[in-house]
Amino acid sequence: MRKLIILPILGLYAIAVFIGCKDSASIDDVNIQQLTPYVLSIPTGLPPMDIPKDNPMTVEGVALGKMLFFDPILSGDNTQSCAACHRQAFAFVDSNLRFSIGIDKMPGTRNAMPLVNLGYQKQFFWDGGAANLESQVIGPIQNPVEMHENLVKALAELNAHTQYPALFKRVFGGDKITTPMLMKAIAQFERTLISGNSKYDQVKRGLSSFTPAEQRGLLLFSDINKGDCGHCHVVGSTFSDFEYRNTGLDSLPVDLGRGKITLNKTDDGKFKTPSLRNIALTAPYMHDGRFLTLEECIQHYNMGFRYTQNLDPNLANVKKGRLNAGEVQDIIAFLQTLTDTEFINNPAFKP
Amino acid sequence: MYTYSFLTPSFNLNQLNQKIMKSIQLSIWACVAILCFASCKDKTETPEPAKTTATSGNVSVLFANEVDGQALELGKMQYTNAAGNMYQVDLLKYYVTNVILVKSDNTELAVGNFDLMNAADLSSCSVSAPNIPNATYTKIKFNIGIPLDRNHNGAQDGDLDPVMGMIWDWNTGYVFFKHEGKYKNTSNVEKPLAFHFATDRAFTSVEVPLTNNLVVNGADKKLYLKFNLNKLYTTPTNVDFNVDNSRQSSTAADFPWIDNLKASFSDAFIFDRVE
Repeated sequence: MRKLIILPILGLYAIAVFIGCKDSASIDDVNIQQLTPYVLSIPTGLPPMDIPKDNPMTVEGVALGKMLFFDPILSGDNTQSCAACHRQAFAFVDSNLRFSIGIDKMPGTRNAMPLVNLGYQKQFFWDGGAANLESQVIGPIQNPVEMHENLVKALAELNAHTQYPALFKRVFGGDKITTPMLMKAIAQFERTLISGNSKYDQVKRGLSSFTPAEQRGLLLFSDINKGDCGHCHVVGSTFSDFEYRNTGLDSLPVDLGRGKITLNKTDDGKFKTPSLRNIALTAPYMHDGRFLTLEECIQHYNMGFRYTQNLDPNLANVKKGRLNAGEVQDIIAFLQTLTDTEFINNPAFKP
Repeated sequence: MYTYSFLTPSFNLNQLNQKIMKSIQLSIWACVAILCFASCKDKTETPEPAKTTATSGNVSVLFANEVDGQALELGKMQYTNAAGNMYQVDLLKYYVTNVILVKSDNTELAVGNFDLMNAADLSSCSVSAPNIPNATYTKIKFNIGIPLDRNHNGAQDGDLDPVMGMIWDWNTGYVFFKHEGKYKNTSNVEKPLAFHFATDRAFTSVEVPLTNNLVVNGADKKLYLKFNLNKLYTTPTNVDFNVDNSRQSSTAADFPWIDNLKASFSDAFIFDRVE
């Protein structure tokens, strides 16, 4: 009579296999539905952020992106993570180095960009070469003077990892980690790096007040006959329109910048206008980090710029020497109010 | 379902020796279990084959890479271009997208594909066009490259995944065609050869008339096309690799080269046969 026991057991087993079969095909969908949407908290004064439809933010996706951002697995010799050159204490630039040093001890040719309010930008890198935040991700990973990693190898390492396969499957489904998944996860984390609680913001909310120097600085900043900074670094919100401009750094551009991307001569020597939020933390300045201080920067726009071919019309039309030394200091005082200490200490952005 | 058909006879045979019964049943159940696993695997790992009905058939478009009639072999210094330069191919990859089959009445059927042909992997050198309605097709059209609306985004799957090594990471956009290798210069010394055909300007349309019509009549068909690499280096004049051996499509100076290559592609693809 033993067979009577064995039969039902085997029968159940067979049924279980069938059911298991069905379940394994739909587990991905179930898990995706179980993800928790990540609700961005946008501080008053900043606009709503457009999130790409094909990369909705989830708590799990952001956590995965953060884990990847801090993981040296994405570099050629597994020694450098994204965070090696993008450090929170410096608004995610590289500890005031002019050019970051990659895994092969080679310097880059441009200054590491801050990772602040990235979701408001359309294109990435100083020249806007990366068409969206997701596409930007593979640039530093593959660049020989940065993380110098081969994507085939990076994916093989991720797929062989003890934790990543399950985490990626949970967030994106599928049985294998792919490059678009990697790009999307890191972009999700980067979109959370929002800064909007500087002294400037608190003053706007009536929670603080400017010193006289800061107040004078704000007026000089906006005055088209004085600082005239606001044409490009639009006051409030993101403090940039993220357009590309030649600011007369060189008579003949050493780095073609935007021109390298569009292959249009009228774009030669143009670079993306950076945001001024946390600007006091992100020295040195300009795409090549040539200016060590904010004073040098402001003096460039006041006196030093060159009448080069593609010079921005706003600069071509202002008078040189329109700011005196005291006025330069006042503008610096105002710029310092854009430092957001909550942002650089936010535990959500720590590994 | 399977389960019950096996259960029923087993209860009717309880007069037999229990040991024999047990071993028979165990092996039957083992088979069932294996079958279940096998069917499981099939379902999750391979896409279901497209259904062929009497009113349509699956068409595969196969691309055979060659140099003036000689099948392409990678890594061999054995080809001569029209300018008389000896050369070899170490890497040959190109995107064939938006395949369109044109019927004898000039109506068109779009496949909507994005496929990377890689000469190092013959199985990649085809485009599958499932469920093509029965008709007589007289022409095939396709593009070499990625259309504008898909060209500037790296976060894409399949053959567009950046891991395929065909996207620029410094200026988001795909390289549509790559030929890398070596050539022998005038002193018979091997020098590198690298042609990367890219940017929206390079997006190329190709039309190949089907000398023998492709007649779909409910059965699967294979349409063979040939791609003659040498044809790319003949427009408007023969390209001498001693003068032109490296193009990255990364400066405006490459525009004339891009335009010439674009014009050459239509001659490079020809109809071979239908099976």
